[in-house]
Amino acid sequence: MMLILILLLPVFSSLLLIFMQRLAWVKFLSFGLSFLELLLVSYQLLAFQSLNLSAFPFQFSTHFNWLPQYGIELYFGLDGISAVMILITALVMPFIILFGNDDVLNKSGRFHSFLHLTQAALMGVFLSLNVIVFYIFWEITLIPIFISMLVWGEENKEAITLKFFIYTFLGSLSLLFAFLFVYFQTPLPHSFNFEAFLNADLTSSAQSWLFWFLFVGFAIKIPLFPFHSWQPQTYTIAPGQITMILSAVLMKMGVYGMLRWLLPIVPLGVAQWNTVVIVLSLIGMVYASVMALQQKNLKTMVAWSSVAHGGLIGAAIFAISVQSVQGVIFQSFAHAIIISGLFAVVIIIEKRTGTSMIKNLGGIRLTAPVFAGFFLILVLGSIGLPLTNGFVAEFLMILGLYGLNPCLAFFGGFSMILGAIYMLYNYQKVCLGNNTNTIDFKEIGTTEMILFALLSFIIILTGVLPGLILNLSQISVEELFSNFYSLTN
Amino acid sequence: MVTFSNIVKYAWLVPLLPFAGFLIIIFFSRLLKGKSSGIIASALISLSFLISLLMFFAQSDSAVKSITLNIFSWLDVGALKIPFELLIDPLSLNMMLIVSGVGLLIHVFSIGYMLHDERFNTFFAYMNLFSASMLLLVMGANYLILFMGWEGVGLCSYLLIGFWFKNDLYNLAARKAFVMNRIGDLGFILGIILLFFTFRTLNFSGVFAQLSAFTPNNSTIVIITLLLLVGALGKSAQIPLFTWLPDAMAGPTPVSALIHAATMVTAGIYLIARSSLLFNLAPFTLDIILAIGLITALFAATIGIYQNDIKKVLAYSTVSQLGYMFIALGLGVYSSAIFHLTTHAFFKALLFLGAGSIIHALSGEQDIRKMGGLKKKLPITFLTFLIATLAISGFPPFSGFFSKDEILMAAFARNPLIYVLGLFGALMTCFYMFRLLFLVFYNQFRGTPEQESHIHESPALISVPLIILAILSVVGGFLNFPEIFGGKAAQANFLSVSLTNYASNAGHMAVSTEWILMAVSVLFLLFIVAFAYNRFIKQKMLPAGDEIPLAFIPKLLSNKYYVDELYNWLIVMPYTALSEKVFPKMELNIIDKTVNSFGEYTMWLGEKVRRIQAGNISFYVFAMVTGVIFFIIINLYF
Repeated sequence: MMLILILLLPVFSSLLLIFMQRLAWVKFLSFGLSFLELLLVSYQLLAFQSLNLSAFPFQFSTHFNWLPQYGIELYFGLDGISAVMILITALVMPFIILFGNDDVLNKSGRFHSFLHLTQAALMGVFLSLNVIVFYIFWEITLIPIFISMLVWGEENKEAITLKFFIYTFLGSLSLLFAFLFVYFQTPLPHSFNFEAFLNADLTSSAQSWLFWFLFVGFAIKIPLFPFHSWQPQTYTIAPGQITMILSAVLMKMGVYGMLRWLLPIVPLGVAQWNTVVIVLSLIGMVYASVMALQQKNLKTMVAWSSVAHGGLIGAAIFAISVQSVQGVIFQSFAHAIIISGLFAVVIIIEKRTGTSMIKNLGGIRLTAPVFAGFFLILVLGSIGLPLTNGFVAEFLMILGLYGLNPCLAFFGGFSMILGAIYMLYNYQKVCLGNNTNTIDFKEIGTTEMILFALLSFIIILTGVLPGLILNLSQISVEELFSNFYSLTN
Repeated sequence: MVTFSNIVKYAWLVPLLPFAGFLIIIFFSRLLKGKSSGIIASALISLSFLISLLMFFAQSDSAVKSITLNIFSWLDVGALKIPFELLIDPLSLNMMLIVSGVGLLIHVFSIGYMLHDERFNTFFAYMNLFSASMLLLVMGANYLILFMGWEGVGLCSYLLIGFWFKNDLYNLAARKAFVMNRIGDLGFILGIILLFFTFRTLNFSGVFAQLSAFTPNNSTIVIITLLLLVGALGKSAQIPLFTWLPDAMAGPTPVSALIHAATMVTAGIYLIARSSLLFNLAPFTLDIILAIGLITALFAATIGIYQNDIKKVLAYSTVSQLGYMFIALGLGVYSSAIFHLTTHAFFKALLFLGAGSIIHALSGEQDIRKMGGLKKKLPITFLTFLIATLAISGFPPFSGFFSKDEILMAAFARNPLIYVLGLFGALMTCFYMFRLLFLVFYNQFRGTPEQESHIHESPALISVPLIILAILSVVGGFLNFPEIFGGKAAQANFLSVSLTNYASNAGHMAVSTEWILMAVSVLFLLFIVAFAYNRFIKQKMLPAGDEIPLAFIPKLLSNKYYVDELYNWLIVMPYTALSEKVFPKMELNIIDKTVNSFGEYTMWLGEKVRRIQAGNISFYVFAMVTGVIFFIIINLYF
């Protein structure tokens, strides 16, 4: 029942907030609600950890009938993979709300209502074990994001928002088509439940093409090369907080989708195509890293860095090993924390200087050393320095790739070098040097300092004790692969 | 009574104390006024030094020579189990003493040197972090903990080289150091991963225990050692990854001392020495190490001859001396490499701190053409610098003589040609060091009168570390006083628990040959000093000013063989062009265009189809009838 509460609280918050207009305390109410959600999730995860996990893959599962004749039911449950995902969703939300520094948005009940609605939909995506319900939540996430971008986005927002919407929507249709096909292959009576999908009778040739329908649908969301072109523009024009939620959590929907609805359902397709997909993802990683170096806009630069990280994640998912997928899940967490911090840096700079164009920045460290220090910690996490969580993630993913093919690991390992190149170059352009344009850049205030300190603390804590996250998903990932191997061999 | 096993339980304090210093100084930066942060930093590093010293003495009384300390479980994913563990054995103790001991002296020196810098506190925070990382590096009991310290050192070098971040050239140097190290680190991490897949563990003793199953030049072992070597090349600034080190002098001078002497660059040597058993199984890799070391030693020495910036001369001398350590590693005499590493830590720290003292006295001047005649005005600096110069040149009985001699002897035993080349490099070292010494301290002062009026000997905080290092540079050689002089090769014996020298080079040569070789090298050295004396003191020759065009070879050398330009042309420029022009064009014209063309095609289709529904009733009827006929036909035939 707790899961239902986790799902319903953000819905309730969203309904409550939509009626609050232009009130100074909207932001704090919104924060309070998101904090409550975080408490609920934490409580549930503690309960999850104390269970004997080896029993059945899904814990706390709940069923409600909806359209039983079509095999559609409200079926929710938690395993190690979704546990990390709901943790991410609940954990970054309070940060995203508190980092808000736009006076209009902070007072807008509608905006905060959309944030909570997105969170509710995300929770639905991560908890649903009936694919139709999953799909509905998957689509709902688009709505508040779409409206927020249209209403509060920056210049040229209409065209870019439309592109974002159509692109991701096409991806969804590709998913829906694949899901319907699998549905008709499930044992009678047909069902959309996860277990039925696992038992679907799919020939290897069907799996072969189904793989691509599912892959493209999920790959657009991450996004993986060459389906990424909506992302940098969207991240740039969306309001800062929307960009944070897009990069921190919505991106992980694609990752989660692949782990939940692709690897177990079409294992033969995965075994057939994984090398192709890995190569494609790694090309994307290198491509995005190169693109990130010379971006003119800091926000776009961070967006490209996210594409680059997504590339390595995509490759590691298909490396088909416990270590690489554990790395993927851990990176989902690490990247969520780091990227929301980096976008927070961007919106703070944007607010204070009125620009995020890199050429107008520089020398921020002169007047705001604490801010620049936190920025550096985020940069170091992003380039995977040991003792930050980014390192653990990258190491596990490269290790997993090595197990598949050493050349791929070599290629994937380039992220270590390329990441350092574009991140440090742009850090220098923004924070170092002796630019006089930013001479009146004030040091950040106490709230922001606390928020950044908390983010840095999480980055280092999970870097030193990665078991905190890894243990949540370990058994589920092992189970995923024991099933995978029994199906492919 | 402190026993070894008791005191080792506190070994984690050694890296933790300076790390705590870093945190304290960062968090309470606003409260720390005057010299206080420098004192805190120095006090904490001296505690680390004391603990290391206690462990060293406790260990010498103990029968157990090496203890692994498991602190907590760090990574645990399926078969991959990597604890956070420390290893205290002779090799790590040797390194700990150097890092914390020489590090302490550099800290104390910096209190005086950096006193007037507005970011004094930050400087000491970074210095402590640097020492902590390096201590972790040498104390880690498995390859991943070593790597953790390894990357930490890389980060600190980035922070300290770019310490004066207002200057974008310094920032560039800092980034260059970090990125170049990262290139090496990629090799290192792949090596670690292959180690894991081969041995299912990353613990040193766990790996070494399984080596008996492998034959020499086993391809897996060769690949592992080559990958580790790539990492070592980056950190220890060997060809082709050496160009960051000379630029690293952008940082404050004590940082150069720390990077060049006690920490950072020694990491690569340490890594290979630590893995001696692994490398012994890969003679192929050892030969490559030997070749790289030899080429680097000579290559860097020739560049050193034509540099006019006091820190650049020293920087290339470091690259060259590291080349000698690589020669020793390549010959499989790991203990000699560590011996030279130890003595080099003393005299190179001394040289850099001495250079710092000179630069301090001359209010920032670094060009040796504008110095001269400083002998009388800076007597302590002069004397200590002289000792360091004698030590690095390899005059007996200074420390560098013994350590370099060991390497050259091993080279002779392997192949006299290597010996000759090594000796040639040593002579060049002697020449450029005496050139430096003579130009800086002898003849007349060549700077401005204003500079001259300000010249002053540095305060005690600066000169005391110089004196201590000078003493160490003199007596350091006796650490491993060779048997030929009636010594016991104490350090080599001490290290034998951790290091196993490659067997085939262990053959001893005749004592008489050894004496002859030594005499020859000393004679040559004396000749070189006389040559330099004649050239720079008697004839008062000066290196030409920057405005005078040079002949081909001097020009090539003073421009460092244009390696930087080559890398720039081969890698940096194409990469930038890719990022600035090629890929953005591809993104716009191929990827984005393809995506948009779907939209455009839909619009076009809509435009065409729209015309069908223009209200033309007769067309509708026509379409309907055609449709009906079509379906009837289908129904009839299928």
